[in-house]
Parts: sequence; C-alpha cells; structure tokens
Amino acid sequence: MSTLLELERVTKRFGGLTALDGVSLRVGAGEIVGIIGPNGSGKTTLFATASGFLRPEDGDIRFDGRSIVGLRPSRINALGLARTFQIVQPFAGLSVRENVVIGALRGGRETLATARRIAAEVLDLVGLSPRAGQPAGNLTLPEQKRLEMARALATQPKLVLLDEIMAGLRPAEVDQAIGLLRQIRGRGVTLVIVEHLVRAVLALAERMYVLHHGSLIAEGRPDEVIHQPAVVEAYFGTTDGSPARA
Amino acid sequence: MTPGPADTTRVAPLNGPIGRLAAFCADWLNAQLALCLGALVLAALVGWLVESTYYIQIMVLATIYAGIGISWAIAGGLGGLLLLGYISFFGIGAYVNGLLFTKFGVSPWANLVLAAAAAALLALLIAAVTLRFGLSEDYFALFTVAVSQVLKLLFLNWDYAGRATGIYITVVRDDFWAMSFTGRRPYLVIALGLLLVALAVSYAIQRSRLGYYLAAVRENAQAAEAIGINESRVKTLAIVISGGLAGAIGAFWGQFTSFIDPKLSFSLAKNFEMLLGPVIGGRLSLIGPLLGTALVKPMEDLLRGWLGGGADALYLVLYGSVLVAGCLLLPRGFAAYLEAWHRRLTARTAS
Amino acid sequence: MTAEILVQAMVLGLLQGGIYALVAAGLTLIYGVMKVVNFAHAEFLTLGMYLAFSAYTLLGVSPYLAAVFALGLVFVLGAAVQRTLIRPALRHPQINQLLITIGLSTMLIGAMQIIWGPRNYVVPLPWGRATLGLGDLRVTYTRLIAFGVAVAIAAGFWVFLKRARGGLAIRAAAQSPDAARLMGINVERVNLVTFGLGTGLAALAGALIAPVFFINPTFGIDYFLLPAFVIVVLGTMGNFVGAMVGGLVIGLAESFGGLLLGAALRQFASLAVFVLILLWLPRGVFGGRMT
Repeated sequence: MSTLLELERVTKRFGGLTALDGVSLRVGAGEIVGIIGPNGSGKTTLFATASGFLRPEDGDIRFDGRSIVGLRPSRINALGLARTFQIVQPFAGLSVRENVVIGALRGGRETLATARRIAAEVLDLVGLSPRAGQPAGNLTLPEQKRLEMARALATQPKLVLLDEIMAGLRPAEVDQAIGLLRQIRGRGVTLVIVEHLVRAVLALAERMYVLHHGSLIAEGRPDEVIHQPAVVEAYFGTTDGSPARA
Repeated sequence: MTPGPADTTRVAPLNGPIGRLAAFCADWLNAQLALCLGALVLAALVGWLVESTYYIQIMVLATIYAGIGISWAIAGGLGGLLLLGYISFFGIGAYVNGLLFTKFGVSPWANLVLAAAAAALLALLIAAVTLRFGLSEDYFALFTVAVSQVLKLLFLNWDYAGRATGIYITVVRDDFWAMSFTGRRPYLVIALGLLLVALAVSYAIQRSRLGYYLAAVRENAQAAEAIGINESRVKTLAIVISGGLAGAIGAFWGQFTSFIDPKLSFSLAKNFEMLLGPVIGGRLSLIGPLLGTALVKPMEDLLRGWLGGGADALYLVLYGSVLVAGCLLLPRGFAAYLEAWHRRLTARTAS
Repeated sequence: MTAEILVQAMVLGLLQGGIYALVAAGLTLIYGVMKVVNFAHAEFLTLGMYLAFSAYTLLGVSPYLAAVFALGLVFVLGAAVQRTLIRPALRHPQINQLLITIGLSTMLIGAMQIIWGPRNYVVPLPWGRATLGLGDLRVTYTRLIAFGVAVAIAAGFWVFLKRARGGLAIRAAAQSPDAARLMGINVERVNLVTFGLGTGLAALAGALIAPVFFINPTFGIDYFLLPAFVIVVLGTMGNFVGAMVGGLVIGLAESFGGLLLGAALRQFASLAVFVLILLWLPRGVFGGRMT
C-alpha cells in the first residue's frame, strides 16, 4: 500500500505549551485510520497542522509524495487533502445546496454546471437532499456535521480528515454514520478519523494511533492498541484526561 | 436568509413575452436586474422630459453615487469587507483624468479606462499590504480611511496637481472627444451608461463562480479555505474590481463637475455619504445600492438646496439623523424586505 | 536647528500628548469593552470645550470647575447615546455600527453649530496668555494646567481600573463579555457606564483645553479624531496603558513632524505613524493583550 499522508516528527507549540511533540504517523492510500486520545491530547491541533491552518515549528508533512508544510489550506485542499471542523463552520446564510456547490467548484477547477451536478450527488450520498434548499444555519447539529462532510467530499479529495463527526449522535445515527463512512471509503477515499467515541473507531479503523499530551503513545490494530497499558493509563489512570464517552 | 448566489427556482411556464419575463423574474437576482434596468429607463425618460438643469444635475449626481454604491457593494457587501475608506479610488480616478486630460490632452473616454486601471492598481496595493499583514476588520477599516487621508495630503502638497487649488477643466463648447458638453443631458446619459456597467459587472459576478467564492469568504473565511478557496485572492479580486469601477466613475465625476481638488476628491464626508445608499438599501443585493442611493442622495441635495446656504447646521443634524436611523432600523437594508416579498410572490405563483 | 527649538518642540509635544492620552483613553476603553469604533468621539471633546466656554462667559465659572460638570453632563449624554443608538447597533453588521457613529458625529457637529454658531470662540481668561519661563522656554500656564490635570485624571482612572470593583467589571467585560456575564457582572450596565465615562473623559479634556485653542464646531474632528485613532491603534485598540503611552508618543511625533515638515504636513507625521504601525504591528505595540 502506498503512503498518502506522512507526518515526520511534527512539533507544534503555542507559547510555552507543546501541543504536538514530535508526532510521526503514516496513512496509506485507501486506509481508514483512527486517532484517539483524551481531551486536550492534540487531536484537533494535529488536523489543523496537517491541513495547513497551523504551521508546525518542526518536522515535515508530506502528502501524495510532496511536502506541504507552509502551503495555504486552500492549496493543500487542491492537492486532495480535505478536512471537516470539529466545531461546525457552515456558510450559515447560504443554502445547504450552495454550501456544497462551493466545495464542488474545487477552487475554480470545475464549472458551475459540473459543480451543481457533483453537489447533488454528494447531498444524496449523505442524505441531505431533502434539506438542500434550507439555509445551512437552520440545520440541526447532526445535519450540520453531515454538511461538513458533504462539503469536504464535494472537493473530490483523496483523503479526508474527519474531526469528531459523530459527537452528539444517537446510537442509531452512529451506526448510520459508520455505514456511510464505509461507503465513502469504498469509493477510494482515504479516511483519517478523530473520534471521542472509541466504539466507532474500533468498528471502522484498520489502524489506530493514540495521542496523549501531544505525543503518540501507541499504534497498531485497534483491538490490540486499546488494551495496551499505556493507553488504558492515558484514558483512565490520570486525572486530567476524561474517559472516553463510549 | 442572506442572499447568496441565487438558486434557480422553477416556475410553471407561461406563454408570451409577459410569461417569459415572469419566468425570468422568478429568480430573485434576475428580478433585481429587471427592476434596475427599468429604473434606468425611467431615469433616462425623466431626464429627457425635465427641462431644469438643476434637477438634471441632481440626477447625474445621484446616478454617479448609485454606480459608486453598486461598485462598493461588490467588496463591502458581497465580499463582506469593511472597506470604509472607499473614496481613495474615486479621487485617484478623478485626478488621473484631470491630469491626463488637462496636461496631455488624453480623451476622457480613454481616461475612464486608465483611471479604472490606476484605481485598480491602488486597490491591489491596499489589498496586498493589508492581507499580507493580516489586519483584522476594524484595523482594515481604519487603514483604508487613513490611506484616503494620506492621498489627500499628498495631493494638497503636489505642485504639479495644483495643490489645494486643484485642477479646472474648462468647457467652452460641445466636444464629444473631450467629453465636454455645455448642456447637462449628455452627462446624464454617460452617468447612466457607467451605472449600467457597474450593474452588469455586479450581476455577472453574482452569477459566476466568483459570486460563490465571495459568499463563502464573507460567511466563513476559514471554512472557505478548507474547501480550496484562496481567501486572499478572492478578497483581493473583490477590492480590485470595486476600486477599479470607482476609479472610472471618479474620472467621470471630475469631468462632470469640471473641478478636481483634494478636499472634494478625498472628502471623508462624501466618502460616508457614498456608503449610506448601499448600506440602507441592502449591500448584499443588486438593487439595494441603487434603491438606497435613489432615495437618499436626491433627498440630500434637495434638502440642502431647500434649506439654503445659511442652514447647513440644520442640514447636518437632519442628514446625521437619516444616517443613524437608516443604519439602525435597516440592518439588512430595504432589499431584504423586497426579497421576502418576492419570495412570497413566487411561492404563490408556483402553487 | 538649535537645542532650544528641539527642547521647545519636545515640551510642547509632551503637553499636547497628555491631552491626546486622555481623549484616546476614552476611545480605547469604549473599543475594548464594546468593540465599537466611535467616530463621534472627538465631538464630545468639542462639546466639553463649548460647555466650559458657556460656563465661563455666562456664569463666570472657571473652565477647570466646568470640566467637572462637563464630565458629569456628557457622562449622562453618552450613557443616553449608548442606550438609544449603540446598544441596539451592537447586533448589527460592523459597517452599520461605523456609519451610526459617523452619523452621530454629523448630528453633534450640526447641533453645536446651531447652538453656538460657526464662529471661533476662546475662553477669555484674564491670565490666559501668562507664561511660565524656564530659561529660554516659555509655556502658557493654561497648557501646563491642562496637561497636569489630564495626566492626573488619566492616572487616577488607571488606578480605578486596576483597583476598584467597577474597574474590575470593565476589565472583565473587555476580556470576555460572556465570562463576565457568568461571573454575575451586568455587562449591559458596564457598556452603558463605559460609554458614558469614555465620552465624559473626552469632554473633560475638552474643557481643560478650552482656554488654549479656538473653539468651533469642527475643532474636534479636525484636530483630534485622527490623532486619537492613531494613538489607540499604536497602543493596541482596547489597551488603556497603550493609549497613555501612545498619546505622548504621537504628541511628540506631531511636534517634531511639524518642525521637520512644516505646519501643513504636521498631520502627515500622525498618518505616517498610523500606516506604519498598522502594517508592522497590526496588533499594536501592546499587542497580544487585545482582548
């Protein structure tokens, strides 16, 4: 399996706080990789750094064979790396359809007509077609999470970083989302998922990384990783990490 | 709902030209375009019928301001930029024409384009530095105001441009190539032409991908970047288009008033007066700036004329009150009401 | 250029800077708490000047006593303006907020012109031209008093912000209105008081300089608006200490700028500082404490 995304000793600091401490990880094309970790372990910082919203102090990030450190987020997206936001960021005043059409324009590489067609397909896929005419601000939170995903998928990425898209979903909705993600991977899209919900990660991911205090403390097959002493310690042993809301 | 690029709405087809027009206007943006064009025709008609030079003069100024309002709304409305100091582009345009025409005899018709280019260049510069240094909204607003005042000071102290005295354009006879006319009507025709250009540009933007990018950047710049939209490039483009149009209109304004000086060309009072129309008319729409300016600008001019020179203090109080009340009571402008009405109307027609 | 001229420029610059600091303090405070750029700020200064003028010519009250009344009166006016115009505008787009304060500025200029007329006035203190001599340097007492009182008030206000309960509430609201609300602070009232105090301080500064400058309706907007903006940007919008230091710096910059470039280009020094600061230090010299 060829490597699609690779982080090499990536360090990100905010003032005196080291949010990412020499993190190295690798995502192969076509994989579903999970990243878990207690609150404040650096998961969202990791995504923000990989997608170009934050610039690392040290280390290298390579995507599809080239270094992407220092590139604008829009440029990184154009290379095929998309992301969603943990705190949803809809274009609230625009319609759901418009939100996705803007993604489907791919920064100008598609015509409006093509973008409209792609948007319609993606909206169908995530099940938002019935809401397409609504202002995005009117959606419920689970719907807005799906909109986040739809917008990212509309850019036709090779890889999507999914940041807690299942938070706040009911169990039945989680199962639905798991099915959806499998379907998306089936179309050849590589997925990296950050999720508080360990159950979802276990069900989806082929490989998993565990972040704690900005460092990777474990890596491997989910069923193996979850039982490693360091991971158990990180989740349940210390007072500052909140246990997983499984 | 904040109007973004319009979704195409389908309505049951009617036959005949009226039906085709109705079908065309079922889309809000198209309906606005139709209303704006109607207003232009009406203005031309009134200009043709009215004999009073005074009223035509007021109409020309209102048309200039409407054009400026639509141009500003491309960056200040559609792009969501706090472009507070807008008169810089207008003033530069006026001076480019003033200097090229009086010193080198270049035709003002050509100067419309050259002024637009110069103003666009200034806009590019402003966009480049403010985006490069990442100024936040309020700082960006103050920066643009500061730039206009720096320009005022520069022209006040530039001998070649006549310092505080400025530039006079003398009109002795009708001369088409010199864009000089003894009557006022030809100026109204040109002003309406420029307004039409501004309308066409704004309409085309809202129909194009750029319209979508502007809406995205306005609504959430971070999310826009995440899906491949280069925020800086989109904002730069908006400022450049906005500034360029203002440059051309400024060039015409100088030609029309035939007097270009730093105090008028870079006046802050005029600057804010220009923004009032689009803000209370609705800066996210096509028709808003036109409507707002058509209501406010002639009212100002007539009020000023009616109160006479001695009552400018009263004028300031009244004008200030309109400014405050308009911005306070119409946060989304008249156009928001029109749009809601249009939506109800099309919903009823469709069912 | 002799040393005396330089010293003279420095002293005059500092004296002017003290007044700037007091005016800018109110502006920066209002921005810090409400995130509103108040384009009408300088008009409250002009109003303070007129109040001092009328108090002196009609009632024979000293401008320095009138300064206290100007503070109180404009505090009430400012609070009323906050309640009727600013508070409802806080929910509006920023461009509307800006134009509302611009409209307010226009209204106030018109109103002052209706009341006092367009002529230049001066407060005819009998000792208004008396000067204090320090070697070759001569400074009018009116300027010295204005500077001394302005700096004392500003310092006192700083202590109020640091120590008093009310000052704490203002600082908390500036940091984070939501957190302040959770702490049980009435943010609406803080906004009201801050706007009243900010504009009141400008009026107080106006009364202090009423014996120094010619008073006319556009005095404030002509001579104080731009420096005040430069100062708050220089000192980071919302930062009180930044405004104090910025005031003195801009006073000096203008004074030396006038010396080097001539009186006509005096304001150019301010503008140049403004543009450079915006570019190189977009968060101001005191950046990082913006919220």
